[in-house]
Amino acid sequence: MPDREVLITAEDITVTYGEVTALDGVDFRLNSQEIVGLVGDNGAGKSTLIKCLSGVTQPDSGEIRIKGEAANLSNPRDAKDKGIETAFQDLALADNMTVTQNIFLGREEVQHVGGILPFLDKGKMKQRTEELLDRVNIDISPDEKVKNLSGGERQLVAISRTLLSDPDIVILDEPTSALSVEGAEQVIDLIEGLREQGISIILISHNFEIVKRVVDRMQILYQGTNAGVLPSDAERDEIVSRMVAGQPQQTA
Amino acid sequence: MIEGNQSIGERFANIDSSSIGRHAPIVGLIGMYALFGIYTENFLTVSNQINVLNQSAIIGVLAIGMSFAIFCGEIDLSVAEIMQFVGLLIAALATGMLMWPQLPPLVAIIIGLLVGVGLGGVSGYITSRFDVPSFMTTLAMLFLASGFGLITTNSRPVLSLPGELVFFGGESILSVPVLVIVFIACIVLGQLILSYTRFGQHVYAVGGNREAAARMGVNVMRIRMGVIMISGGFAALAGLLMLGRIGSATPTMGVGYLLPPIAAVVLGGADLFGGEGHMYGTLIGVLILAVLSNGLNLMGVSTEAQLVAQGIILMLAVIANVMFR
Ligand SMILES: Nc1ncnc2c1ncn2[C@@H]1O[C@H](COP(=O)(O)OP(=O)(O)OP(=O)(O)O)[C@@H](O)[C@H]1O
Ligand SMILES: [Mg+2]
Repeated sequence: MPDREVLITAEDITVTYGEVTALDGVDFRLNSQEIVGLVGDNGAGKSTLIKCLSGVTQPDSGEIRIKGEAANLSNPRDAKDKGIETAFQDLALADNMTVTQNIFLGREEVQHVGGILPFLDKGKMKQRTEELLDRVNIDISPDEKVKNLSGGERQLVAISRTLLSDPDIVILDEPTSALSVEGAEQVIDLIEGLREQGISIILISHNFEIVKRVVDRMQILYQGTNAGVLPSDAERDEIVSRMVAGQPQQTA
Repeated sequence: MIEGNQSIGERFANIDSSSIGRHAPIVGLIGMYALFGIYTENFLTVSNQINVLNQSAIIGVLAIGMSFAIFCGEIDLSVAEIMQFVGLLIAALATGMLMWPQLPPLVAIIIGLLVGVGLGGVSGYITSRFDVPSFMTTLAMLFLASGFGLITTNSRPVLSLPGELVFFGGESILSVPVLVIVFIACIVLGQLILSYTRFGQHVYAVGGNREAAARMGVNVMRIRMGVIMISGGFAALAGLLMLGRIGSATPTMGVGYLLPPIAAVVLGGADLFGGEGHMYGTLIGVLILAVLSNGLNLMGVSTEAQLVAQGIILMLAVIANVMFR
């Protein structure tokens, strides 16, 4: 196996929302060409951690380094500029807009009419959207409004949006929770395909059976704290124990 | 989606409630044209139709600015007072009433328009920076602009205006009022911005899902501030047009000009909560209001009864707005 570059390290991350401490001194690491699972019970802090990594939330304390450099991710643009793309748990889609408009939201392609006026390049955006939809393997029109899509289709639109900028790192927060068994299989195939293209992935789910199948290792969070990093072939009971009790299984 | 090989019946079965909502405004307008065309003699004459456009143009220009705000999930309650203040300001500057010597009319106009944009910018900045509902900031601006207007001319009207000031709202080119030309041009410009610029896309995105837009890197503050600035700018333009329309500037010329633009945008099918709508809808909404009052006038219906009719139509539009979406 080639030497793996460290892409992301997060050290001692603490996030509070008023009285609630969502994360309390959590560490995290992602290497290149790696799929890391982030598992934990509801409210364990998984989404909060990835919101820090995607510039949506700013930690109260702690340090995030990306490719070795200290990174101050003060807004989502900063994270995108550093090659981190995220499909959020709530998808963050604008229902009133089309698939194409959502995929390009915030980075619309423009062409300069008469050399000056920047007008949207709708043809180019539609064509790129068709390619992306093809890549995630869904058959929907780029001009369809997102509000008319099924839960699974919306999920795949959110995932395809992460691929637009050829990112190094893709974060998927609960990408299978809205999907049928068949749909979930499709996402797993997709994740494996992305790994082959050299993309590193953080996969978040509280369904660790799914996580186990694709990840290289998994990090467990318990009530906002680290509850260990396990190999993907860890025992089921071991994982469950850390998820629900925050510590290794007690051996009798 | 409609497949190519469906029968007509299947196509009709496929008309969903949102497409009813989408076409209701234009159907309503056409219905009114038919009604007034049949029941009055002069409604469909060219001169009366130009009259309808002329009567609707100032509300129309205000409604264009208001559309930007409403599509983005905001509202601008200060448009009538900004219009009035800017009208008075331009008149006072160009006649030397505010300071001597008087400014060239064109300079007065430019200053007036910039002041409108600036006042919108103040409300917009406070709205977006401190996340205060635009409902409140523009209400405060309503009082401010009203006061500024009275201060500018000492509560007096400005009666004799230079020709340049009345040109836009009062003259005609080839018997088409300049006012109407400006209104139509603004409609087209407004929709060009909404449909073909990044800013326009972001207006709809912020109106539809502000949080999602922010997560995708849209500068939500800038967009929210921008739409209220634009609304202030169109209100200022309406102030200039008003000078020609009534031939003077009066400290009460904004009275009654707040609610019709809002009504027009809603009649045009915009989502009350933002994210949906377009300028052609706003145009139709403006025309519905103008055609209604013009047609009822021609039928000899009293002003009181006209208000009742407007109220009923608006109520129906609001119901359609929330039902068919
Ligand atoms: N914006 C917020 N305001 C207040 N509390 C929050 C906010 N976001 C998260 N929390 C709290 O922080 C804690 C961690 O939430 P988080 O969403 O990160 O958990 P999670 O592991 O993603 O859970 P789930 O499996 O339900 O998605 C929870 O107690 C949650 O209620
Ligand atoms: Mg979560």
